[in-house]
Amino acid sequence: MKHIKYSDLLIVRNLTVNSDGVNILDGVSFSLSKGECLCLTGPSGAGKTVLLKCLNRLIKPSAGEILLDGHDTGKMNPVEVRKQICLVGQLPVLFAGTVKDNLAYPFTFRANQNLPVPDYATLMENVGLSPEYLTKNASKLSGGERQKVATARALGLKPAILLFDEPTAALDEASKLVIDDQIRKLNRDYGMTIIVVTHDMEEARRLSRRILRIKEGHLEEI
Amino acid sequence: MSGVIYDPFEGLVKMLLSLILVVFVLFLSFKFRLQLEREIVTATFRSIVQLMAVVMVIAAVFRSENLPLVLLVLAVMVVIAAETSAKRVEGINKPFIVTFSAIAAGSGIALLFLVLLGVIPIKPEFLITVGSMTIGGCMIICSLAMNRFSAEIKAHHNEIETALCLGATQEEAIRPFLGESVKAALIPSIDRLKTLGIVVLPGTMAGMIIGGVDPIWAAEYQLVIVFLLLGSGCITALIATTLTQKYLNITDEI
Repeated sequence: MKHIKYSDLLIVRNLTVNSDGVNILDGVSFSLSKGECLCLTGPSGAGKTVLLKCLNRLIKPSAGEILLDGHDTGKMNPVEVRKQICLVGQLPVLFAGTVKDNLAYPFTFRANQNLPVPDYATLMENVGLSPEYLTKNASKLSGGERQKVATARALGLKPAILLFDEPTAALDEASKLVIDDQIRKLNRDYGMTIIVVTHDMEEARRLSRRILRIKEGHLEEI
Repeated sequence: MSGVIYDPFEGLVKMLLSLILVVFVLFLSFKFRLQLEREIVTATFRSIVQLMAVVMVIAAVFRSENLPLVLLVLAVMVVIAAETSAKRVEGINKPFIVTFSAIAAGSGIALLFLVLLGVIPIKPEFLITVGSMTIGGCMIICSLAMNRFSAEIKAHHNEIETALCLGATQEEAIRPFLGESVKAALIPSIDRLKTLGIVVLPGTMAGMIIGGVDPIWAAEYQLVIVFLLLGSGCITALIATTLTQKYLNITDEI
């Protein structure tokens, strides 16, 4: 990966998500430059995960628009949006088999079959794991290692933006620091554009200079 | 076929005598305070009226020898089966379209196949009786398959969401759970095949033997029925789960 800097890769305008008459997100607007790392914080149930799921089109917003590199994601094929804006969940799911099987898994899907298969050893190095891990059984990995493998798997798709939903919430303090360091490295050394959701302000400060807080569906800059 | 002559009076008396067993159940329910009395009386009364009314309609259709009328009766059965099955399914948009398509296609294709082979004669008494058994079997399999499918999707929501995030289409993400659901829905039919005649004498065969038909012929016909139920059930389960994929909305859940 090369270090690249662009601007306004992602523009979110008046994003609203309504469920059963309640606005979970209410007119949320922000933009993200290429190569930027943004942290989203806020109390539980504030709509942080819903916002991430809107960005990668797992949830269709009730109103508003999301522009990725100038293209309205609402008009794009959701599968393409998800490949471009890749979400790594809080408790990442690794499938049965080896770590390598998991890295190869996305390339079994029709939409990814014309993508070049990445060098798995390099992917492991990108997330700070030794290539020896490729032959390990995925079910035997620790929480932190699982998070890293899930990140490597997402990186294999060469997404424009990586979304992390509370990546360290289920980890101990030591693993938290390792994962945070890895996220910083992905952003700083490889120029990856990243949005991290966390309810931990300290972690947010560690990861980014720009922190946005969601409260009752509204967004405010800290 | 050995001649069993039907005497309507004798038939009514025998049916009423068998009701003594229901009275016995009512007595037990009262004695052990099961509070089932009202339900048992209603269900018994309903079963008598329902079956007699259906028999009268069916007898009229048998007499008419009118094929379109037979097909209409089968179509009504499919609609009722689809409606019943649709009520059992949760979390799917337009469940009736799914259950109707699956039951109609499953029972229709399998029945038509055996009719074209000449195994089932094109006669109202065969088409309606065999058809109703097939539709009933398809209804159960449809409910089982769809319920299992929805349960699998709920239980594996994280895996499905992960696959979607990695570029899978909805179809690709939930495909691994389709086979499991079809398999689970077909287990009762396969178990019925395995134990056929050992655990119970199946209904068709028992009825034919009581009616005086040669037991070998009855057994052959019973085998036709179970193969038909397995074939139609498999088609139903496959169509039900495949269509469920289309009408499921696993994203957009908040």
